[in-house]
Amino acid sequence: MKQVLLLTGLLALALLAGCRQPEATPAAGAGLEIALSIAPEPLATGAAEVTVTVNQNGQPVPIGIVSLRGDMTHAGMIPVIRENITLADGRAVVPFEWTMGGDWFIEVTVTLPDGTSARQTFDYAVTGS
Amino acid sequence: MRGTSPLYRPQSAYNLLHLPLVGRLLRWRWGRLALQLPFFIVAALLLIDGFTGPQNAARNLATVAPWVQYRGLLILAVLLAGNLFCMACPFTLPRTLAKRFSLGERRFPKLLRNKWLAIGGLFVIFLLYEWLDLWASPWLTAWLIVAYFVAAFALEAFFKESPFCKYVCPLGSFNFVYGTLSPSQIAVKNADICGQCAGKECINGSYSPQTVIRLDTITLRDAAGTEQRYEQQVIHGPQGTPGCGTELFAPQIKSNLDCIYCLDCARACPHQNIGLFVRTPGRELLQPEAWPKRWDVSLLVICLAFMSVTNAFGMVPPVYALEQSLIDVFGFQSELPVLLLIFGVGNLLLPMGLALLAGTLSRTFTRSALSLRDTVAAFAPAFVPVGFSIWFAHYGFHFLIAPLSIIPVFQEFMGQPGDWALFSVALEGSLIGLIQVVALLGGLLWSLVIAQRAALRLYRRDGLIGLLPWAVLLLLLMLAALQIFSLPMEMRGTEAMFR
Repeated sequence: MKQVLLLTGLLALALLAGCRQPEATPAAGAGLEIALSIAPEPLATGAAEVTVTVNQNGQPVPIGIVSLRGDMTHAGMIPVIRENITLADGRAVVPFEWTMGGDWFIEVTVTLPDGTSARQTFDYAVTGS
Repeated sequence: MRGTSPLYRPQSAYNLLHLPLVGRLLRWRWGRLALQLPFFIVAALLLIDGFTGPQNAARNLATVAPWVQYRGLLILAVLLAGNLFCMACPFTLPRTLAKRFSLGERRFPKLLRNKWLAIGGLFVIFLLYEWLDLWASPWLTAWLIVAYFVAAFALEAFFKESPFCKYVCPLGSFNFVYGTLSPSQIAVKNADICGQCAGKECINGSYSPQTVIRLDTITLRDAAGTEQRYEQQVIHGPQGTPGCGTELFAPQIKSNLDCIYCLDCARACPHQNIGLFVRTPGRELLQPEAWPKRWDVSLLVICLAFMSVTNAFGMVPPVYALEQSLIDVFGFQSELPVLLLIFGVGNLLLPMGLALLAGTLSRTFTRSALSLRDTVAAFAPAFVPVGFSIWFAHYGFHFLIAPLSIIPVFQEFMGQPGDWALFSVALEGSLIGLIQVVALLGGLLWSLVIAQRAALRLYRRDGLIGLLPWAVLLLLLMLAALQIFSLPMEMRGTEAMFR
């Protein structure tokens, strides 16, 4: 009986893994090209400005919504989240902040009016100050 | 049972096992299991998320829970209550199962019954942490958790005692050392009872394949000198409780070193003579008879204090400059030899060398006849508070910059959107800095008091000169930590240097 309970418990825990929200398609899969440029350089802790450029088949995407999420590779750091930024003529300028020096990655999610959603991740090394 | 020291009766204030609800839970036959099960479920969740979840360390339970929450809360728990993590350790949960599949009643090899393995284990775990960037890898952290379960199970199955807890486990070794600061300790109520107890169930346990009933006759004298005799029925059987896994005999426990707070001794004692008592924090650090005069124990404590500095050093910019200069000088092609060199020097050679040097200088300055081993053992307890304060400053920093980050991570694990905006609270950087400085200064002061008492005890009128080398060493350790914490933290891996 104990073994049955243990197995049932472990099975229930394993099922939890299937509860996660579906993730957006990688950018390449949706036919989108996402590029980031960040100022100022070299990257250092403090305020920054992220310019997101999104093209589809070589042409700027006329309209869309961009969300950014900056995470450090170290566990337990608070992310920098910028959501629902309007993309116009394939370009969006997003105020950002490097809250600490170290390895960062920014995940960009682009949602087009037809519901297509794509994401891409960019890695950065930021110097502490 | 070994040793010839007299039975020990602490001047204790309050038995925590008498607390209304908590005490009853802890005394309950399944009390430890009740504490371990939630942690076992947590470990299972970490494994699931680590192996199947997003490999983003900031959004995975396997990395956030152990590397941020656990370390921050553990350090507080050790200081404010005691070795609570070992008490609820999930890795030893399969102990009963392992004992059932026991492959023999052999003892752990005598050669390994010391703290050298623990020093090696701590060295390896901190090396792996940096080399494999465990803080950034849910998958590898999950494998580390698996390794803990396998190692604990295998050693429990192969050997009679609990060698994993006592001699191997790096987490346990950390908790043992810093548990000496905590305000609680296992002790007996009346040592006279232990002297007449026939079975010493606290250490031998009360398990037996068949039921056996014994009658203990105990004679006690009250304050007026009147003898009182009572008989206690002692039952051994299949439902019996195991004795102390780390082989501590309750009436001789003078220190929290090696005590995993499992309370098996209290449950096994047929005379209800064992309790978890409130005491002065760090009591054993001032009691020379409570501290073993052994190289392995002394160097474990001293190395762990230095490890606190090198571990923090791995997160500030000068480490990258040092690594680069080592690459330039030695032409290393991978990160492992660089880290081996830094950690080998910082975590082993430097603490051992400086401890020997300070001990030699102390003896020379005071013309002491005390052996070098006993000199180092006398001052080793002084490294507990300063080491603890550096770990506290480091782990406290990680915890306080995102204390609630586990909540959105768990929400995402459960399939909900993580409410990062709500739970992104953090303490002000300046306030964290102040907490760090206060902790470091407090740790240094506490350490200096312990070292001063040791010096006066050993050298009497020459106490000041005998103290000097140790005081300088403790001060340098704290200054190194202060310097590190004053630098901007840079949480990054260094593998890019080798690409």
